[in-house]
Amino acid sequence: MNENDAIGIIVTHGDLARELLNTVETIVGKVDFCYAISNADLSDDAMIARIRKIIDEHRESYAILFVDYFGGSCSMSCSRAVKGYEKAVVISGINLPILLDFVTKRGTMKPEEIVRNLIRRGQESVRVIDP
Amino acid sequence: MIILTRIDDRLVHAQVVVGWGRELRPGRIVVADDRVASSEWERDLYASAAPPEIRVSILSVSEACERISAGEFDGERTILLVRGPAEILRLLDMGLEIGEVNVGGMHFSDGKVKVLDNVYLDEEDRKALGELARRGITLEARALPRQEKVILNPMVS
Repeated sequence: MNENDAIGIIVTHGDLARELLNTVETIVGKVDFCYAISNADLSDDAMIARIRKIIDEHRESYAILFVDYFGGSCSMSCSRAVKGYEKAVVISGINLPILLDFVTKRGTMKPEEIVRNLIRRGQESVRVIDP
Repeated sequence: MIILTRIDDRLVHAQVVVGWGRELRPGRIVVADDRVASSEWERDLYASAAPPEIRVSILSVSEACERISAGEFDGERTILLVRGPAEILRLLDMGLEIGEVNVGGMHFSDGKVKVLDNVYLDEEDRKALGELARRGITLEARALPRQEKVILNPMVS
């Protein structure tokens, strides 16, 4: 990984994270350094431990955490997991366009810049489709 | 008035604000938790988790007991949230009247054994829930309002 690269950690309710990642891989092929975590059955502390373990294994890289629902248990655990980490950020409201942009464009710009781009991409992809 | 007293180690999260919120239409959630109440950062985090139509009060267990007992939330449909059975015991010891407790989420961590999909217990949890059962509290376990209630009392007594 180069210095601009970022790892991705998708944290969601149910199997959404796993399936988002599976779907991304059916579109672009195998994706490295992107991880899926489900909140199913896990206490907050257990979830935080799993998240931190991944971040700590890639300490040299920036970490972008994606969660499905702002204010849900995944976003709460992620917020607490990255507290004190300078090179980690949490984005809520994950959708497929955000993830596809993440895996195809990371490494081409600075992490802070890609975060701004991902949020814009996600917001722009929610729209009424003209007939 | 307290319309639901719930044990949930996730405290304010989607099941509570969306799942129970749409059924009970609460105006307020009171979180009675010493750990969260003692940190401004944690208070802000949990307060931000609720939608704008639900106000959130994050209080220590003793302060929650005092303010509920004083009738401060009588005019609002209020959900009382605690992290575990120990907090309910403390509220009872301080004189709060509680008849039924929803055991909504006691999730897995090391050393806990699955009892129901949403309930994992270790020995300490069992003891605390057993004590609540002995004091006549009905422990109804379910994550969401439209699920069937499972009465935990015989499983922890």
